[in-house]
Amino acid sequence: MTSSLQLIKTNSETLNSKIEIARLTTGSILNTQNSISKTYLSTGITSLDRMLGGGLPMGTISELTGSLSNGKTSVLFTLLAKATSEHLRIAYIDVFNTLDPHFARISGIQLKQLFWIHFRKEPLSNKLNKSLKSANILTRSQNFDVIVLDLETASVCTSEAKTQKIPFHYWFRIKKALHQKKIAFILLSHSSSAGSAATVRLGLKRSSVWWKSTQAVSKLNLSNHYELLRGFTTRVSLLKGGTHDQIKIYCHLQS
Amino acid sequence: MTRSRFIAIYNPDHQLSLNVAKSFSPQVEKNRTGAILFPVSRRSQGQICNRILQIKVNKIPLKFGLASTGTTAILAALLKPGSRVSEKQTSQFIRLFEIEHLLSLYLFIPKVLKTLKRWGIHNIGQLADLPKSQLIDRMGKQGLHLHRISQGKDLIPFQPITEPIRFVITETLPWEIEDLQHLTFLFEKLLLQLCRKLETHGLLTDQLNIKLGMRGGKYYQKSIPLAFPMRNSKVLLSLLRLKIQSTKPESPIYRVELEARPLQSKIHQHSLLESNRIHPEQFSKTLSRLWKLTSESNMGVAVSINTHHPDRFKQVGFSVFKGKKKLGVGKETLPQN
Repeated sequence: MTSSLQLIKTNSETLNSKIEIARLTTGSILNTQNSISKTYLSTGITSLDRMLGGGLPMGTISELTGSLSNGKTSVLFTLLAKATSEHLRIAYIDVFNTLDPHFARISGIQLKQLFWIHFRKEPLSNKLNKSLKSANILTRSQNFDVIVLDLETASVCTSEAKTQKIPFHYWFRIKKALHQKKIAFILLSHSSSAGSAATVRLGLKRSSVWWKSTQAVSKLNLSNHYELLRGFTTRVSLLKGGTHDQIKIYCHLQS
Repeated sequence: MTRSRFIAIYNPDHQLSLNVAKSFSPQVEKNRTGAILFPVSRRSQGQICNRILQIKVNKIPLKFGLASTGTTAILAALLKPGSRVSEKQTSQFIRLFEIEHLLSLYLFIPKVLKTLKRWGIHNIGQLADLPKSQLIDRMGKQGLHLHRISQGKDLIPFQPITEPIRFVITETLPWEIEDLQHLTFLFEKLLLQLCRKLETHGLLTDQLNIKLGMRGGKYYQKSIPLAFPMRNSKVLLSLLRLKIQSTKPESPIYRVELEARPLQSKIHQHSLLESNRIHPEQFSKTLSRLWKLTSESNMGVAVSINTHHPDRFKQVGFSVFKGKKKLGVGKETLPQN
């Protein structure tokens, strides 16, 4: 089943009490402003940009944290689609080989601008070490505008992968290398990895799931047991880097 | 001042004609009729003609013609082989030849021949007798060309076939080398020579091929595609060193061959307000460092494959540079009608 994200704007309120339901559209850019405005990288989601004060800051580490299937990849791909539409170069370090190029393409990302580094044939113990070294090389080279380090362990849910902790000094080294550079470093992980080295941390949590029953299912009177996933709502909280605010994003899945 | 003369050789086997012509002169031109033209000096023309007469293919001598212009020499070789036409006899010699043979030497459109036939012009003599100004009035630039070649003159200067330039540096070592450090010194010297050669021709390279001769008759062959065309020897040396470090040769090396694939350099006009561009040399170094860290198969760009499976993809190398211009042999410039 293919998935697509649709963005719908509804009534918006003030920052502290507003809950904005947004639906992200695949391949369509609603934010007509330039992606890099001053030192921010637009996420492609207007409400999220407003919450962040313009977008993800460049020259620092930004974290997207949350458990599995909470919308991290959806938000990330919307951001990358926006970035590629502005002809930015992206380096994607896929540690545990979780990137789906097909989903990336239908999300609007121009794959020719996405440099994909994966460690498919590497043993597990080497993956993390090599991925951090790659991140270090890329941040120092200044050849890419966006660097994504995907530590998501969706397909590799082993205890070894979960308990492996990255020493703090790695993050501070990357932070120092990013200083005063126009590079957005985005870290995708279950929980906070970069700690104080990250300037912005967004927490994503699935708040509600929407189901629908098909005609075939209702005919068989099996609606109580079998339903199709229509979409889900994700609550995005700004845990670090601003006022502790939150918005809701609706991710719609289409078959 | 002595003017050179031209000999044209014709044989249905074009390669044979070419080989014979190259044995007499390093500069040869191939006409669209298949005749091979080469210049000779007045002093040696007689000797060369006699030697050509002795060459026989299936007991049949080669067709050749000697004249002061290429047009006349080719017509002589095709229609009256063995003729040696002096400069004064040129226009008289070709008068009786049919107009089709003359037009076949150059790229004239069929409409020209039809027009001339309609006017009642069947041979070159009749064409030469037409008044020049009126011919130009009626046919324009083509008329000027026709008038010129009807006198037996050439339309375009002699254009010899030029072989594509290869940028290859080879070095055979007096003793075998195992150590990478010593090999690096050698690479540095060879790359400097290669880059200077590229610079003198105003070219860049987008791929570096390395071939090392190893003990036991084996060869170590690798190619390094560059993300950006360049001719910086220091950058190429670091890329080469990283490549060798990642996949080391198995045996000691006694021979080194480096080849650079040439590419025309482009002049880019950047505006002052444009965002910062990728630095090509640094980018190539970054890629090679990543190659060394993981492997080439673990990085690239995902490209969708057009099949019935919508999620099929393949991985290709990441390059910002698109499109290649191949260097060809010298152009065949003919008057366009």
